[in-house]
Amino acid sequence: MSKRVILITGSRKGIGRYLTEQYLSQDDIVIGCSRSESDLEHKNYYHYCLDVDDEEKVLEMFRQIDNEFSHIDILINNAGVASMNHSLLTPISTVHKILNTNVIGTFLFSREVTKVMMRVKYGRIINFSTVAVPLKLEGEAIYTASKAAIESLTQTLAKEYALMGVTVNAIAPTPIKTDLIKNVPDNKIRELVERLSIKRLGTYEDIFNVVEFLTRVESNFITGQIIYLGGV
Amino acid sequence: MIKEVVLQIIYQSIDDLNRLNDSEVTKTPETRLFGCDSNIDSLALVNLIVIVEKSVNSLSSKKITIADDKAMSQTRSPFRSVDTLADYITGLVNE
Repeated sequence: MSKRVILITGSRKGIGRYLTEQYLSQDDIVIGCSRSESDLEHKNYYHYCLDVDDEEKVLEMFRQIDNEFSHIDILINNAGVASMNHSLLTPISTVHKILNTNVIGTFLFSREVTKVMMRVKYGRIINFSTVAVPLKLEGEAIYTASKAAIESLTQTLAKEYALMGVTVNAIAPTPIKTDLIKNVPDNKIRELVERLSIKRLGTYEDIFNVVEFLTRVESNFITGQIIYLGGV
Repeated sequence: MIKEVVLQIIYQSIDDLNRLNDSEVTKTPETRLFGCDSNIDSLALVNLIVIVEKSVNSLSSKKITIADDKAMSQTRSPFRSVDTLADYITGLVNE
């Protein structure tokens, strides 16, 4: 039986790096991408440097993956950016950057991976939202808007891809100690944690737990779902 | 790439589609792909376009996107039939 091929965006650090290492330890083949080179060296790891919204580079990456492996079992659209700022002080360049990376990147990768997955009528796509969407977190207007778009995209793509054997679900984490929140003041993090049922920061293990469940072969009857962590 | 080659690519793609969907789409230039009298449903058309695009791009040094803005905005859709699709793809490849 051939190894699983798992494509993870934003694999260089944080959640993406953790997921990459977990899957490599399970002897899966992992293809990762990020804007910079990765320092991860492993015989089953392949890295691409690109912006997830760069269609030309993304299409070329998919061509190479298809030629080399001819199948992709799981896509984890982890790459994302945020910028905490009041909307009145948010430059339009920041708006473009967040929407391009988070929404267009997720859409582009979902579209291209499904062209591969549909050939074998099997695939798992995991998108990333955030608890900031239901909490309507002030200071993250464009970030939450982009993640709300990803939730809608998840639900619609789940319907479009169902007959192709591809499930599409999203995980919506609480704050986790990564670079994404390094510039968020501690008091803001504390305030958000107070609004959760389970009042703590999330961990990489919490993410992997849900991703692992949603991507199992047995999870073929679960699609279009958004799973919020922390009891929002 | 000449139109005859493109037609053969489309016919092979229809074979792939029929295997994937257990369907019996016919392989003629007149086979209707889009519109009220089409021989295939919309999802099958999506599948067919994806398969054809991959095949064309594997044979052509110029990489094309079949379902691009130009195709979607035309008054007379290039996806009406196998023949109009072949014309459209030939034009794209040879641009």
